[in-house]
Amino acid sequence: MMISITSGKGGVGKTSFAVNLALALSPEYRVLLVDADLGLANVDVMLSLAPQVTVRHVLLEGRSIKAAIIKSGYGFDILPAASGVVELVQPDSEMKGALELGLRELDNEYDLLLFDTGAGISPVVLWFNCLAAYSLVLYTPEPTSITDAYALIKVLSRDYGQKNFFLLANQASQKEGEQYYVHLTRVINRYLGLSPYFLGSVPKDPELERSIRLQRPLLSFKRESKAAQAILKVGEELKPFFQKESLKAAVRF
Amino acid sequence: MEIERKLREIEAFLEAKTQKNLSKGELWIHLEELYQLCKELYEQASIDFLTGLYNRRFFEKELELCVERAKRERCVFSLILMDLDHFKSINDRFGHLAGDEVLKGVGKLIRESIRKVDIPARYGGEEFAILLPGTSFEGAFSAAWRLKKKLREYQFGTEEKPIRVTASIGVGTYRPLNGTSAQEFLSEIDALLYQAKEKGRDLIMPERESPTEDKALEGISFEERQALKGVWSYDDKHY
Repeated sequence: MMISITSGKGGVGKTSFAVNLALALSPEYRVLLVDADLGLANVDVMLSLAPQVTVRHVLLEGRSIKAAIIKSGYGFDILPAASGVVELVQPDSEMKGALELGLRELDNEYDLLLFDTGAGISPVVLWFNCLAAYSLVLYTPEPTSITDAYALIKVLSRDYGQKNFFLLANQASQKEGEQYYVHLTRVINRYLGLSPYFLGSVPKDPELERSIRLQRPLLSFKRESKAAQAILKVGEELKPFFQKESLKAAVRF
Repeated sequence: MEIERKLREIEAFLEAKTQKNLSKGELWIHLEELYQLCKELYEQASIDFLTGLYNRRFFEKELELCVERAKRERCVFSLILMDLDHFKSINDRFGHLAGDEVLKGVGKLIRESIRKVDIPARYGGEEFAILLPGTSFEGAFSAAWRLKKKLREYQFGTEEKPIRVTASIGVGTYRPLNGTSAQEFLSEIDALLYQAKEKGRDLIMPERESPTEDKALEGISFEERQALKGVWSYDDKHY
């Protein structure tokens, strides 16, 4: 199953959340974390990896997609993106076609493909969200983040046929996250006719900030920290959805 | 029901034929009935007999349904209209039989290039239509792009007399919130197809996959913005 982790606004903690979520799920599931910001790699930096082969070699030089997969060292695998490759920032139809075929193939080999998308609502972000069975939208408790999350959900649902959304409050206390969820969902429900599923809140945590500086996932050394516990809980919330496979198996090419 | 009854009558007639000699008059009556039956079936058919795709009547009904469904479920669907380029000259140069073979082949190519949920139809003489339920513009554009490529690379006809065909294509996505009717939507895409012809054929219009950028990113309305404001003003009251 493919799930995209996305936000509209940048800097809300997508990549660090994605890395930790992959770790939270990987003992039980075969997880592949796809760095979906194709031209501006993040994931490998977050984990201090230096991949030899990236999606660039797959899309521009015809290498097989499997050749680019690396082990994270934390139980899940990674499909790394390229760094600073302009052609990949907005890939053309041919590249997207090739990438889609590759991802669908990998989807059979892994239980879960997580797309860590880039920021904004660029065509490639929307493309990854369409490919995914679910879009997991992160927001932080601030007006711009909420507005951008709403705008992304609107575009995806109205013009791209994506109907399955998870909402996750990041850098928010449980109470804050929930209140924002209730109100955001009311607006989404009223104007877009959708009811996204709330996955919970991940609080601000100095340990998380430390883990980013250390370039190691929080869950790999401080499982008892507040943020780590919250992310583990999100993982539990997600599990029931993995059974309901192929929800939108045939919707896109 | 009427058809079923007639069928049974003719069946009985065929069985009886081996037992007794029938008069010419009776034979004519049954032949007449058989003809009527075929005609009725033909009129009710949803298949285009040459290509095996759906016919125009069925397509138009499906298009209406897609529009209704999109409005009700707030989902999108896409439409591809494709017209073979210079088809008349193929008929002129290679004969109508060869032309028919090409149409059949195109039908096959279309069927091979789409998913089971899609609805391919022969819309007119050399015009084809594909409905793609639940598909966004990007998906439809890449389908059209692949189809155009396949068609262009495919060799129809025989080894000695190869026939090459290209097509002009219009693609569009129906957005329920725009409130357009099926007919309006169809003419929108038809206009795009016409543009593709005008611009030199073997083209897809719109030319670039410029998804929704103009329309979709027009952003959120004033009302939505006001409603969203409530999301964080709520916060102020409680902290």
